[in-house]
Amino acid sequence: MWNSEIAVFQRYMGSGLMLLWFVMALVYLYYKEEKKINRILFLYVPTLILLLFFNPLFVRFFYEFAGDDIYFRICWLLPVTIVLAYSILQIYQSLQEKKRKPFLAIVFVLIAVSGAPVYQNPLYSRAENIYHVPQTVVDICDAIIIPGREVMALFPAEHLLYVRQYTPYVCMPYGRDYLQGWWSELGDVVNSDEIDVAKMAPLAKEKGCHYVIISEKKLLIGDMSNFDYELFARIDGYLVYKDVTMNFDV
Amino acid sequence: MIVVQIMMLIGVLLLLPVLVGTIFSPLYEGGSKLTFYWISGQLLLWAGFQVLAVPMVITQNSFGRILRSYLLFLGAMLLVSLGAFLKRRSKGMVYGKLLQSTEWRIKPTKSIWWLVVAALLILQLVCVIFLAYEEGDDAFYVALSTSSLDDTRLYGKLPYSGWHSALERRHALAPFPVWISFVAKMTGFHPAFLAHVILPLLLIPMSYGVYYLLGSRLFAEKRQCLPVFLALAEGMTLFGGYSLYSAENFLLVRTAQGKAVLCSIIIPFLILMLYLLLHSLDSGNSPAQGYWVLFAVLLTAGCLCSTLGTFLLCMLSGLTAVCGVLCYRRIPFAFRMALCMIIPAGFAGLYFVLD
Repeated sequence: MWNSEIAVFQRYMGSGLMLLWFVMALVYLYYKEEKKINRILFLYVPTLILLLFFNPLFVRFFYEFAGDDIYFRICWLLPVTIVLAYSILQIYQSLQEKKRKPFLAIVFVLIAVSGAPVYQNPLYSRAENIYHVPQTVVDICDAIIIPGREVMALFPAEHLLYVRQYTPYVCMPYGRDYLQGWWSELGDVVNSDEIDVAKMAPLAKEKGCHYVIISEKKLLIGDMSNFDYELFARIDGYLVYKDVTMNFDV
Repeated sequence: MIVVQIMMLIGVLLLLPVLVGTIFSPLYEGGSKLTFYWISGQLLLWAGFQVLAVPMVITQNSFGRILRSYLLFLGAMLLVSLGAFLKRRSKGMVYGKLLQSTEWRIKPTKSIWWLVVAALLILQLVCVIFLAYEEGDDAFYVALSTSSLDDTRLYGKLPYSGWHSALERRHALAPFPVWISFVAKMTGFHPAFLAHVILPLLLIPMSYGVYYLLGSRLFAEKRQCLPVFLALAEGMTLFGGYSLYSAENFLLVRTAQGKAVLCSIIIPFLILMLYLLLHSLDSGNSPAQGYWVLFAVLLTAGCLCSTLGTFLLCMLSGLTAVCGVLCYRRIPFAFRMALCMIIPAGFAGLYFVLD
């Protein structure tokens, strides 16, 4: 148990320096802050939160009540930004005028060095449209949507996050849960580099898939038309197959 | 058509909250009133949505029914704010004073820091528009907002895939995505566009607005420090990528998810409210008129954002109350605070009832 909350805190700390500055700011406030209000809000309460965070009884209560995967959210109660900015400005004001600008310059450099730029995260990419979902998903969905009803479509893994953000009228045999480890035989077959049609198509039919979307880069072993899936469209490097035996009435 | 949509957007997300926020006018003296009206008004609208929507979600009503009820609530709030305005006008307090507040007067000698604040904010807003983030949880929340628009039974389908499912209590008790559906319905904009672009353009400034209000209090006598305080807050947010879980990272990456609103707007606003409370205790007075109403509203708005919000907000309030009682030897305020927690406690109770 003790190890787990330390692990959670370490994950929250990330590289660790910002939280270290925060703890140092608490120490600074302990010695220097005179206003009772600020001592309560920026020193006593954060300290109590930290003590509770590492208290095994509290941890046990929380895990029982809400689970362990969201325990890190307790750290949101630590006013890291506010305490740091406030402490920095207290030090700033205590300095002579000529030392103030160099001090702030050092502070901004330290912030940059101690943190990490949010926008450098590799998961950021240039937005392709106003919806911020891949344009390929938009194009494929626009092609297969039938106004007035839902359709079931089998999408490759790279599109699973986005399809239903764009439209509720396209359903899928599985969604993001597959990416999170939820097992699906169909998912494993369709997301392998070489797709065995004889294995994939019956599973897709069993799930009621009106459409099957496959990357042109994948190797299809077998003929989709043997299972009533005919090529409906080629969109942005993807083959869209349609089950011609399915009912598409509204 | 697009002009009407933009006007509706401004009306729903800016004008309406500001007008409704004037209800809390007596609560916040001095400058920065417009910011205070905007944020407190939005909190009231979120709290109202929570109280109306959750019972309907639990009983698996349609989105249309929530929409109609909420529109009635909005109308009622506008009437209340109008009544409050007329009452104030009869006492000689007029709206014209709103724009004369000190926030519009930037001292020229310190304007360079305001430029830094503005530049950093603009950088973040530009990134919101041009950068897309591969956020896994959006597959749930944004998909829920998109599908709720036509749902006859809210939370009746798995947002990930569209398969029918039983009501899932953890998400059903914090229907922030359904509020986004409401904005989408009112404006005609796609929920994904709202969640990824429009709402971050408002929620990021709103978060800094809370820092602004708090900074205005912390540096009431040293106003030249306020823009530096804000610039530091923005700098720390921009470099908040040191952890995927930090509140700063949530603000920029998951902006329109309820939990991001909780950690970057609701919790900082609670700190502001607690500051105001301690300030009144410190000066031997009672909190201003309407304080406890806004406090209860804030806690309820937190429930809309995240089921855990109930617990976090009550925990922070409770710890501050304990410290306040010990430091000021005054107890009655703690009882009032406990009373404000009745609504969140009710939602917490529902969490267990629905188990």
